Amino acid sequence: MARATAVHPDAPRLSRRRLAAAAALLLSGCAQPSAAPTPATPADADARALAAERALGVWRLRLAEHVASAGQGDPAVLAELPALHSPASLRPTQITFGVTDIDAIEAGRDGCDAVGLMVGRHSDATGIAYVFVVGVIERQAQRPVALIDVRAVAMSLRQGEATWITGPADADALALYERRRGEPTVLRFPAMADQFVLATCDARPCVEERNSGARWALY
Amino acid sequence: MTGLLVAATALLTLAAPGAAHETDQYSLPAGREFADLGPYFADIFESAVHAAVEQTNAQIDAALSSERPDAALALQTPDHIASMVWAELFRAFPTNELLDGQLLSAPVRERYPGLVTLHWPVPSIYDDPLLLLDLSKFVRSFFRAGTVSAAGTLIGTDKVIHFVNVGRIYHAKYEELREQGQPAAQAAPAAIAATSANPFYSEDGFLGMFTTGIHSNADLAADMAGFKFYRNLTETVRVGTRELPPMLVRDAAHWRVQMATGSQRFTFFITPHWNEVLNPNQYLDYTVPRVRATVSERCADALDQYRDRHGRKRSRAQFEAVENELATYFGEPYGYQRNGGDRVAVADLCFPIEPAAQPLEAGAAADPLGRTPLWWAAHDGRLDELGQWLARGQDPGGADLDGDTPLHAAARAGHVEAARLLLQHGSPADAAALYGVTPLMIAAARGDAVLVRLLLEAGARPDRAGPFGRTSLHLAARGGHDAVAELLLQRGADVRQADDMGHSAGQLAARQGHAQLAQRLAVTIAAQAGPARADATAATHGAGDGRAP
Repeated sequence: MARATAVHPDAPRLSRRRLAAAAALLLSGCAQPSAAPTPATPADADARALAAERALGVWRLRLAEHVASAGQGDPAVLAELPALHSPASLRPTQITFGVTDIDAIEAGRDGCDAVGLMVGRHSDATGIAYVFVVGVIERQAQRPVALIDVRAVAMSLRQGEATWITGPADADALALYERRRGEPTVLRFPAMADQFVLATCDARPCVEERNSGARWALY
Repeated sequence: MTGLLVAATALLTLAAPGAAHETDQYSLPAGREFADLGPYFADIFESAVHAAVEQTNAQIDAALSSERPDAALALQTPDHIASMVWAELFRAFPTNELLDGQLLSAPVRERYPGLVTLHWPVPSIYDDPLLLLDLSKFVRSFFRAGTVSAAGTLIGTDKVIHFVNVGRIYHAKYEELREQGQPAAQAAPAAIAATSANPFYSEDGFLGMFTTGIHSNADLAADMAGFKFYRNLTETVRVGTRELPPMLVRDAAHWRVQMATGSQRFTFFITPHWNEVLNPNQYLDYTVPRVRATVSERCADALDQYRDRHGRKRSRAQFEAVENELATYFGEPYGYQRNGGDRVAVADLCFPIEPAAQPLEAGAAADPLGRTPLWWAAHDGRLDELGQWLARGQDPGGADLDGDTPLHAAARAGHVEAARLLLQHGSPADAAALYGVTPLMIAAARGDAVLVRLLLEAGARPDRAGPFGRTSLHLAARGGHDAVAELLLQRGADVRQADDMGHSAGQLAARQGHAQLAQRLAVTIAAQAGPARADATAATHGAGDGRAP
């Protein structure tokens, strides 16, 4: 279980170690400049894992900022997101929040996109949490080339501050999901006919994609 | 002679960018979603109409107070008010480049998190080798317009420029002919013919084929739509199945805006005619092989992007049917031309390499999104068809992948009669879709009092909570829908019920500036609590600690 609190980027001073880590991330995974899509190798795995972590962090930060600014601290502002999407959207009722061009050297060409679909609300003794399934897509040569991570993420608000639970990466669940999804013409997350739901796994909240049976634990 | 040539060249160079921009809806941002800019544009258009009316009325007042009745009469003409609206719109969209820059600016992008506000294709289908002697390649390469989504259609931003400017040229000609005594039925086609055959403005003239190498049917459709828009300022016009009453009326000496605020009128004029994939261009002969080759490379993406509303790839026959339908503007000619031989069109280029998809059958099966023909009939408000599916025993409560039942679909589109029919056939009045959304919440958020009453009478419960713990009353209060809130209260909606953040419906109304409704809800709370608290609660409501009292 990983708990983190969204922090405004201007608030903390970055340490040298953090700067070095950020530079390392910038030069790996999401930020790989490439003229054409290249197949993944085992050596890419670590870089992609780092890139996915970084993308998830940026996604959490942006979502918290959106709730704070557009919603003045009220997460119900997220209910207005579907209306911002093109009416040509095939699933017009879904609440999705995306961040594009994470660590991109050139917008649209490379870097990562992180898209989170809200799957429901989890309530327990500690309060209410909004649960998302977040997919991180790597882009190369203007195209999405790989879904490098999917996670269950929960956001709750305590005294106006976003508090997060980010579930662990699950390579098996990702592989199961990818197998069922097949080879789409254009990679998207979530895919057109995906059915993500808030489920219970071993008496704990998790996210399930019904078509594939893939499940991601929240903790 | 040399001086004349230089002057002519300068004029050509300056004039071309004004209207001669090219756009590419074949090259799209793979894997990303577009924002809907329809409301964004509609607000700008609505503001322009209001500003033009305000200024014109001030001019009329000035003319009348200085006893110049002839001047006032001139200010009261449809042509004058149209020219004032045009001036406001020109101020908002002076050039294509500024419009594109505006749509890519941080303030606009921040309104649409994670969504594409404007797409500049890299590479574009017009990224061909530049031959300096060919003026058309110069314009295609350096005067480009981005792609946006508005009202469900992907369009080039050059269409907005065409709509504003060339539409007004059509309209001015139309008003001139009307002044000469021609009836509207003759003046309109004459104005279109005169402008579309103009050697400078037409698609086959200087700013069209000559400088760009492209005859754009989509540009002509935007011109036509702009013409309809300017006419619609003072006349009723028809766009597709919609009959649009005039936006303005004369009120004694002045103009008055009768179009409802926030009516999104501009979006009614945006149609698939404006999309250059669905409504393909004609190209200079020698450019056709190059453009065909580059478009062919994008077939997989184009077929993926231009799916039908069921989420299925369109077949060749479907693309052809759409193109044929767009050959007229809902039955009226607008200058559409079609190449016979080497056409650049998805229907002609993409199917040899991509297996043709089957069109959706008219049977009872659900589409990939889980929506049955009955669901779509409810969504579209097609009562006869809906009745037929119900008579054939199709499930009136059959939900799609997101749990939306046909009743949700009818509620979203405001089809009250379809909803009534569904309820009569046993559609569950209170079905909860994704995030717990019920048809009553949808109707309450839209302020549809007739549908709210119908659903309540059918047994829908007003206290069910949807996303973020908000009830139908919260949604009605937030939208300032007094009549809906009243209906919900009459049916026992709990005015004290708090959403996830602890806000009552009254607090949401107060936050959104709906003071009267906030007061009404505060009084209800006080009445429930007892007469002693009534005055105090009403006086302090909205200034509390963010928790429901």
